[in-house]
Amino acid sequence: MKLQIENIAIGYAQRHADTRLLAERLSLAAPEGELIALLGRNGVGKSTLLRALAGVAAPLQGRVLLGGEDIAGMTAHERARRIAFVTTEHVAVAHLRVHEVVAMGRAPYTGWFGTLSAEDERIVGESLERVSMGAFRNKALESLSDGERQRVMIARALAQDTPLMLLDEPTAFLDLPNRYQIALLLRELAHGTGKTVVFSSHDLSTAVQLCDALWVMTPGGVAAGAPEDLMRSGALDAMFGGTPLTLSPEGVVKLDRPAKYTVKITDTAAISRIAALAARTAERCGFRPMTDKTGETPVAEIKILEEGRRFELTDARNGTAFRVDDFHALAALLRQFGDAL
Amino acid sequence: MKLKFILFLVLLAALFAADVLVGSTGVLWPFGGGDASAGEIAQRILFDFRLPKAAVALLAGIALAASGLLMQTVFRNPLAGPYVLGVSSGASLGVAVFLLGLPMLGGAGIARDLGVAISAWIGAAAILLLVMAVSARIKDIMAVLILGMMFGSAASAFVDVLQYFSSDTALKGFVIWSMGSLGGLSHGQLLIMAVCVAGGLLLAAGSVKSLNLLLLGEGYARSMGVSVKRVRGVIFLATSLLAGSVTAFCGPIGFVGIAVPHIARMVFRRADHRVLLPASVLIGADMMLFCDLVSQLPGSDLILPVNTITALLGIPVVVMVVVNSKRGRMM
Repeated sequence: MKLQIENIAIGYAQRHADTRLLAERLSLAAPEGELIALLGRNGVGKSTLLRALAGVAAPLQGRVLLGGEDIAGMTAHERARRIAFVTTEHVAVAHLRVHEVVAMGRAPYTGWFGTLSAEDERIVGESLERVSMGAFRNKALESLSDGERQRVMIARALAQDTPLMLLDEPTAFLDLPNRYQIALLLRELAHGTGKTVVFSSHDLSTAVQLCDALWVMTPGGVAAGAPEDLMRSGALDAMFGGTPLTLSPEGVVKLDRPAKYTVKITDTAAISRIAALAARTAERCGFRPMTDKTGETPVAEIKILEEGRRFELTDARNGTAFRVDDFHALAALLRQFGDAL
Repeated sequence: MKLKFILFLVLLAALFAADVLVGSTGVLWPFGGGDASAGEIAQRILFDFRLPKAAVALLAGIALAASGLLMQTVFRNPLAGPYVLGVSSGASLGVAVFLLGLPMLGGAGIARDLGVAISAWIGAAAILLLVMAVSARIKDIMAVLILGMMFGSAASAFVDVLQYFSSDTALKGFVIWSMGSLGGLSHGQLLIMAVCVAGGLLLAAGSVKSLNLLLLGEGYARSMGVSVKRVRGVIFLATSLLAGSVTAFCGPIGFVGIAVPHIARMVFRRADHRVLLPASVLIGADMMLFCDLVSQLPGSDLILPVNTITALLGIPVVVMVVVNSKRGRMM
């Protein structure tokens, strides 16, 4: 089902102050079967926007439509059958078992006692299989790792059988491989089941590589589009406005540091990989690496010797040279050299 | 799991029988031999004293354990309970206001009993409302607990002030009430208590699904269609009814409400309220009957206040939970 956001304003009530407005006149759309990442800096209003989409907190203005129907007009029960939400709440309850958590996703469909029908049981099992947690059915939630736990929470959302799934920072606290796996899983879910999946994240590189569209939230508003569209328009860089970070065309974030001095890198063995690493080392120590062609006068020269097993740092002013065996020692030399300049 | 339930049921039957048969007048064999007059006395002791007392112990255990479980889930606080959060003190304050402040309304018989019960509910509800309001703003488990204790102490202080200014006869009535005991309830009082406990339990049983969803957190519960406000209201009502009635008729009894749900979790190793509620109710009844039995010190004329026995049994469990919760576990 298509999700449409029409001209909404979001914010939250404050004590002893006016309502804090986070964003207004937002209009966005999420087509069926797409994975969308909501990006933006801390405090920009990602969670508030997700809560508005989930119908947990109503927007200050405007409408959120799901399949053309205003979610504000639905009862809590109707909403629960259309929107599943994975929140940032940490569940730390002893003896709670994995299949019990997933079975809770069936709550909008079961009676007052929560008894599962055969069909409910089948959906619970299927949801667990889909997130590859079938073997953990009877394990206690407490005994799982953060990544496994997040998979269980996603299985619970799956069991809720909704056309829209929202996740608030599902990859926070996860290591890099886990972050990719969770994002990949969400992508499979969106494409394989036709669900619309929107998740907030701080992980730009997974979002750029795996999402069909990004919503980049800044205090000025939300820019939406495919990752490449946002790179072309520069909207993705807007996230880093006022910080020394820049985004390379490959989607890699780099720290921009002004370098006063230049060092020349001479690669005698012509191993480009080692030369690139030497350039990185120089940059990390506050020098601008240069190739032979540029016209600047370098303050020193790094020579790569013995097929990259040794390095020589030569002071361009007096010709003193030091030889070292690894980048760690080279960096120490460069820092000393930089301090002396 | 079924086996555990059966075991606790058998234990309950045994404890109930023991509690009825053993008492300050020694072991009673109502149906065995003896002359007619001795048999009649035995019958009277049995039906007017021991059976009501055992029934009250049963009801009090059920009510306190159930209210403790409800409070722990709704407050998301493993250390919540009617006694520690000051709800029992609130009920005492209600009773004190009724017995000391308004002695002219005292009346007698069933009207007085109902008055005591209603004032206890109102007092319990007032403190519960305060603690709920505070816990909506403060998420820190320990802070809510300390505030609950402060509210409880404030209520006790009010009771002291009331005692200071009241007449001798009113004071005497209140002091007798406040010493608390499972015995001495009239059949009318027993009936009021039974109806209240049944009502509170029904409200709790009707909320098991929502209580389970609340385990994941309010956000999750809402996203699955739970009206958190409504559940809170129902649980608030159930807890006031359960904890208030027990306090009204037995005086403040500590540590059953907080400890029993944890014993249930440890024994049954489940978090599901469809298991925990009946398990807590059963274990609570077992525990109160056991405490009552011990408090009579079979073979001696001494009767200890049941409160001391429940404290001795409950406190180790609470200490264990505190140690566990410091390691980051919720329940």
